[in-house]
Amino acid sequence: MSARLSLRQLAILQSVATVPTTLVFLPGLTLQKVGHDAVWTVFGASLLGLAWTALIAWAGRGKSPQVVLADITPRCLGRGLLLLYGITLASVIIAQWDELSAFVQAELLPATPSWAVLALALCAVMVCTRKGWLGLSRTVDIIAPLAAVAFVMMAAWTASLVQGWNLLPWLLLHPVHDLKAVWLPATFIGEGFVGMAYADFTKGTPRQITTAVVAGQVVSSGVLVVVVLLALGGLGPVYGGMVTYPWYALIKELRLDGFLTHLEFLFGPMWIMLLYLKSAIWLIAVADVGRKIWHKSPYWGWILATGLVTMAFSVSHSTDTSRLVYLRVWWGNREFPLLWILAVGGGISARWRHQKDSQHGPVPVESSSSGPA
Amino acid sequence: MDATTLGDLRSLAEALLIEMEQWLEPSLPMAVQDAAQTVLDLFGNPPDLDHRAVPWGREVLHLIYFDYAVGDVQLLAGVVQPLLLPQGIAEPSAVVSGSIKRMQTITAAGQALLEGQVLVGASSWSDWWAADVANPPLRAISEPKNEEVIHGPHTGFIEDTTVNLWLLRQFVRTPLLRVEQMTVGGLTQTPVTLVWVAGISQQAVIERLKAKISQLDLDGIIDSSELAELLGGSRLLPTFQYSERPDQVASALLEGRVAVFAGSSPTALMEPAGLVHLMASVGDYYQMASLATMTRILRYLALVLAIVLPPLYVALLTVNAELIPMNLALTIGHSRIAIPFPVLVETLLMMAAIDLVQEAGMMMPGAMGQTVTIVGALVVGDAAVKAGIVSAPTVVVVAVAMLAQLMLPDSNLEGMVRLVRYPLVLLGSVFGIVGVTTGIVILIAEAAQTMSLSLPYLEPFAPRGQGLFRDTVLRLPVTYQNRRPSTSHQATKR
Repeated sequence: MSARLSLRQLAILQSVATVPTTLVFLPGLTLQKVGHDAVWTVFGASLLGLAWTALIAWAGRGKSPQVVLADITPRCLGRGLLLLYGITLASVIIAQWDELSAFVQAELLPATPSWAVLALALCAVMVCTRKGWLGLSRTVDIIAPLAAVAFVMMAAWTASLVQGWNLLPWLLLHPVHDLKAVWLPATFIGEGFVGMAYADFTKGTPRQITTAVVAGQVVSSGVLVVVVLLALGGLGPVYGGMVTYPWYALIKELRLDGFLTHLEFLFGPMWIMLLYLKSAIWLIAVADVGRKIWHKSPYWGWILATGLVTMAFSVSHSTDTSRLVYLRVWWGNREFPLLWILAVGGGISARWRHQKDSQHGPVPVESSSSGPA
Repeated sequence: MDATTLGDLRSLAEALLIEMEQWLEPSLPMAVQDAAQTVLDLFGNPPDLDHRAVPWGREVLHLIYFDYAVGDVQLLAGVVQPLLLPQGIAEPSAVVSGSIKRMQTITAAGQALLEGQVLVGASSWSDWWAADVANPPLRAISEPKNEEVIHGPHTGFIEDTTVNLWLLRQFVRTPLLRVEQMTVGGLTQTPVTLVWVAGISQQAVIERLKAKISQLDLDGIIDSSELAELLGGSRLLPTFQYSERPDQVASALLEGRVAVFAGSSPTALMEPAGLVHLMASVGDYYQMASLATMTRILRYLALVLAIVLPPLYVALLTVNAELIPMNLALTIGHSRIAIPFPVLVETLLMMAAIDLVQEAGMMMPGAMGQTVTIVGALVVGDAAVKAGIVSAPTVVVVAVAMLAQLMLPDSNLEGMVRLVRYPLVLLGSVFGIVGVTTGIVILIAEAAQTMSLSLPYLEPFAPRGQGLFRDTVLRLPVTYQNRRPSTSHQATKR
């Protein structure tokens, strides 16, 4: 393997793979659905996401750190299932383009068509993915700390708008309804791990890698809980459930010293940067799978083709309703479970084979691809 | 066939003949008069190539040398007088005091002349000899005008590598200082000198640099900056650091980096060079750590402002006006009421005018250049506002960006900042802050993925390296800088 990330870089990548959605999209969705019980719901979603993380980590332990998921799948699940895995990974990118164009058109560029916004995003993502995981992780190394500082500042400022009675009482009023609402945020918290589960391009033992990924996951979950708490406390369950991006709406309310307004000016660019990085992570994951199926295919070709195809899908359902349908029905109920089954199934299968092989001597392993050749 | 074509053909044939002779390395003719004529013909009998025939007993002593390259005193005292005293000696090496070498081929004789040596021949000797009495005209050692400091050494490199190496040895007095010379350019035969400290520099970096230089196949180079371009790297970001200061080059050597001198250039290249190297000024180390830290923070802030300020201004006024605080929006709007141009045109005009003034200032010599810059900027800015062509906020934004850009210590980095502003302004005018953000992500990704030899361009920020805050944005006291940076062979204690 040519690329070698540090455990810290893996943890940050993992966090970046989910944080953009937890900042903007999930709080609104959760507050709309469960109102006052949103805090319980995101707690539950975080726990469920971490449980999936633990399960996939356990399943993948058999082979890692020698191979990535894209390596073990052809032997364990077959080439057809690997293709299915790649397609499912690509479908996540459609959801990300949806998020981007919906947010940008709603808040920053109402008159610009979504294809133009996505074409711009694709240019940035192509540059970010130019040198594979290693190049991307270095870009993340620069942007993630800036985003973290911006997040802490925003969180501190918006905390000043929290009103205590909005958060009380913390009772689990509708447990069944709340549990149902857990599913979709949990799929988003768990999605990063599915893509990065066999993060084998990292220096470290399997246990260290798992710990790093879980640490990244915990950060994302923590961000979601904090954002939901702030949105709920600042806007209240009723108004919070009416706006699409509650924390963003709360940031818009900020007035510092009577002059400094429109602090969403800081939030918008930060979120866009993070979403570009998230898309880059998934595009590289798809390119890795593509090159595993067709060995001599160009890395750049995969990135560009996947970007364009997913962009076209996203543009084709550009209304908010169709985007929600895609997320709830396609992503939440079909693609994520499928992706998860493939990942866990591949991991368990690899684990079983590894144990079998170790009883009968070593078996040669295919080398993994982790960036442009 | 006309005379011009014939002349061209003759020149080509002569060049081909010289190339062939260099390749075949023919010997000098046995007859001393013929040999002298052959050497003169090799250069086309130029007026600055002197051929002196000095009576020497029963025979004649032939001296061939380039005027001004050879010192008269050295020639007389070092070669002529020792040879004239004991007549009939078999070899001049026995009496000539300085360095003297036997010349057997025409090519070697020609090369020796170009290096400022004098060719000596006599009919009783079997060979010609080249004596080193070079004393080319050189300027005095002075402080480089572009890199002046208040405290610290005031010496600078000159147009002679030997002198430059001596200056460098005054700062790095160790036998571990290694110097290796290579030759680049089929026609110019430019000496390229690599300098490093054994045990500190990474051998892989040195070998890679040597391999790159040895692979260069071209007619020649004139200055070290050409060499920097030829050695590759990013086309957008500067991956070399230049300096004319021996103290700065010595510091780089102690960090494990490699210095490269090319030909008669007073500028040394330092490789590898990341952003932190380009953002550090040599003066930072000659003032108190707290003051240097403040300067560094200002400089990094200036880098961000110089790139982002005009594009953000255009983005906010053109697309995302709703993000401007109300009071500020009213002030800007009031000052723009009478302006006929849109913000984009206004800003581009002002940026181009400022760049023109700056370039004009660079072209004019000395104090006149400064006057042109100051007067030009003041007059253009003031007149443009009074004439109602541009608004005062636009002048302020572009002027602040220009001042910020002038704070950057590396001229290539400064140029890059000027360059990237234009596409960012265009992006901002179409896509607002989304466009500016996208441009910045592209810029960060490009920088993060760029390598200067084996060094990631943004290290120690990305990937995180040792001493993240010791000598980067902050300049901690020297007592805290007790480990060598990652450019060295290993991050050992200093």
